[in-house]
Amino acid sequence: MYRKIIYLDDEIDLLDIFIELHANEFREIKVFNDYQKALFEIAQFPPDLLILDQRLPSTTGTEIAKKISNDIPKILITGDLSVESPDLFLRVFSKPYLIQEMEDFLQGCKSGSV
Amino acid sequence: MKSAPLHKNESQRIEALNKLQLLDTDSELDFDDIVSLASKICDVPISLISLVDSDRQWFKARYGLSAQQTQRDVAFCAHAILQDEFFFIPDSREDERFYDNPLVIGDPKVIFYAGAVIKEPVSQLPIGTLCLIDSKPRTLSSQQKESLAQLRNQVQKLLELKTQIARNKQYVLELHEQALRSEHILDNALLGSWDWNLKTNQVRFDRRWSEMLGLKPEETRQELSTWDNRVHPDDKAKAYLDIQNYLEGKTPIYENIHRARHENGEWVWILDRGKVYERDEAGRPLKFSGVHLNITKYKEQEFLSQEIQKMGNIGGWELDVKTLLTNWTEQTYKIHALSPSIPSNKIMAIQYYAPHERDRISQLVSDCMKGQSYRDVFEFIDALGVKKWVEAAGEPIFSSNGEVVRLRGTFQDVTVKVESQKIIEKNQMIATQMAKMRSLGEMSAGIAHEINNPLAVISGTAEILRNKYKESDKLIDRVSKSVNRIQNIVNGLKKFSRSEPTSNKSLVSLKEITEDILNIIGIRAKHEHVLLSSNLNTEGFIYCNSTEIEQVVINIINNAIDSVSGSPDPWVKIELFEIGEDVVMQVVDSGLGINKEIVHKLFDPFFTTKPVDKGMGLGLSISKGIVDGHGGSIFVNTSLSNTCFEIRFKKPQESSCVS
Repeated sequence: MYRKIIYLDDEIDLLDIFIELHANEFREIKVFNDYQKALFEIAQFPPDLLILDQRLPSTTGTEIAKKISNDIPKILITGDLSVESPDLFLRVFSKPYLIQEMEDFLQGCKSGSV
Repeated sequence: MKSAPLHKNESQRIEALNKLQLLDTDSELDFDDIVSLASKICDVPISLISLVDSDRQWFKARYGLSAQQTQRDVAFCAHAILQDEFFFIPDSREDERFYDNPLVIGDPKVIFYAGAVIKEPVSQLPIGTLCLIDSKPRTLSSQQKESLAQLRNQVQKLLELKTQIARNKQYVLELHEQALRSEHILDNALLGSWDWNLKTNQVRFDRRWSEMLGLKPEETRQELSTWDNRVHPDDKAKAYLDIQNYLEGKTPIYENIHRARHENGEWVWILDRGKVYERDEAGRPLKFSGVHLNITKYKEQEFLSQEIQKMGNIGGWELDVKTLLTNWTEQTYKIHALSPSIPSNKIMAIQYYAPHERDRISQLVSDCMKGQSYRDVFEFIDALGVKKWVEAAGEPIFSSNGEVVRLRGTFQDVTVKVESQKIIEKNQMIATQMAKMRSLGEMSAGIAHEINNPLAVISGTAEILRNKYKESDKLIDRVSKSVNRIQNIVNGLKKFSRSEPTSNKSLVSLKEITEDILNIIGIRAKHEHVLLSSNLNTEGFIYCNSTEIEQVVINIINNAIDSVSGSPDPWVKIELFEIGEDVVMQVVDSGLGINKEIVHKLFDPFFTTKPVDKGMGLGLSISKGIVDGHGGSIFVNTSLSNTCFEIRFKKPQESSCVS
């Protein structure tokens, strides 16, 4: 069960949809489409879970994951066909993912979660 | 009795004797006179000229004896020829070598013997003796001995003379033969002569000169213009230049090669040579004569041999346009796998061209008869049925009035060249193909991202709508399903991109791989109206490099679609099942099996039944390489009535399964 989640994606529509579908009273979701703002937030208030999009303007989700402490679990959402280093992530979701699978993961009740 | 040993150079001695050609010849007065004289001077009843042959002595001249010859083993002369000059036996009865000799005991009772050795004039080897015989013991006075020596010298002189005469005779004979031969050569080699009076410009042409150009000797005008009018315009300037250079002393002899027009219109190649043989007091040339040699044949040979030197295994051919008679070189026969003993006129040359080439070569040859040269490569099947590539070239030979009289050309087996060229072309196609695949891989990676993002938006939005509008659930489902299909297609691009070649093996489901592939190939099959179905009865886990196995499956299914596309009611069916320890995939299509002749070639590199631009023939050989590398097998299953490619893999061992 992840209480504080940070989601970084350059696709604003996807950020909106994510909040609409997964936010509830037990879960705080903060979304960013600018990775520097996200990094600033993470440094001040480390989340329970960090969700990263792979292709970002001027960087990648993988690059960001490398910079952030292993203590923070991370998942990758990607529209690419392959993943560079999947070991950095708790799980990799391919776009478009099934909403139910994501929700199940966030609740930590399916195999694959810690 | 002791017979004489052989002379130390016996064989040369016999050879020298035979060379004289005296043995078994008629008696000659010159020799007879000598023995008669010897007998009288020395006062003996018998005198002989004895020639010691290999097993007898034969008497060229004899006085007082009727026998013509005796055996050599009893011959006194056989002993005599071992001496330097003379051999004397005053009383043979007291000589251990002769006392019991039948010629001593019986007639002619050789008691006294004196022999002077006769030597063959050239080799100086002893060939016999001039000898004296008496039936009572006696000696010779020194005068008599001297006379014997002188008479012997006369014999030798006679022999010398005879040899000389024989030699002269031979020489005369040879001269005569040579003269005959020269005459023959002149006629055969077409050597004509001319004699040019430089003052009057009258030229005497001989019979052969006229005949060489098809002229009647009596009608040949004996003036320079006869020749001048017939010299090929391209060669004339050079001919006069060579003449001028010679007459001015710049060259030691006049020599020129030019073409001259024959009465039948053909060009004759002529080697012209001449020298001045008469000059005036000031040294100016007056009379100039020389010969014309017809070298047309050599010139043509030269044309062929130059080509041969250029290329190696080139054959040549000729065709007379009027008679349609042909002439082939040995190499041309060889390329046809035909024996040179078959007259080329009896050969239907066109039947050795592959059927689809026949119209083309016929056209080229008939154009050549109209004056058009050609050079091209053709598919060819020799007499033994071996497929070859030949380069055939032809050129027209014109008469002076511009008519094509003959065709001639070359014929070369270029199979190796063509085949290697094909391989090079295929390699280039492969390189191009690979470059295409690489860029397709790069592009599909980019496209996938661009498509997947909006897809995620669509599917997310659909879920939101689902929550909001419960009654539209079915409509939302339609959106979700469509999104799902697009996603599968985009993921499928990965299989074609090969952007990440890995050698890593992992446990993968052949079913899953196949389903992914079918998502993509299905689009193509539908486009080409091929009914594509699958019956995947097992997960078919195998331990493999999934990228490679994907390539194999794509290749086999694509081949199947290629082969049936365009035929009536085409279909391709993929079966996946397990038999014992094997995971089996069958790709069956609506084709009716594969020709037995090519089944064993199918997996050879570059074998293809597709048009050149469509396939490069590498797919199956690469596929086989990959499957073999995985310990599996790929083959044509001929037990079905339809075409069926079957791939078999061993199921993974328990230990290699992922728990």
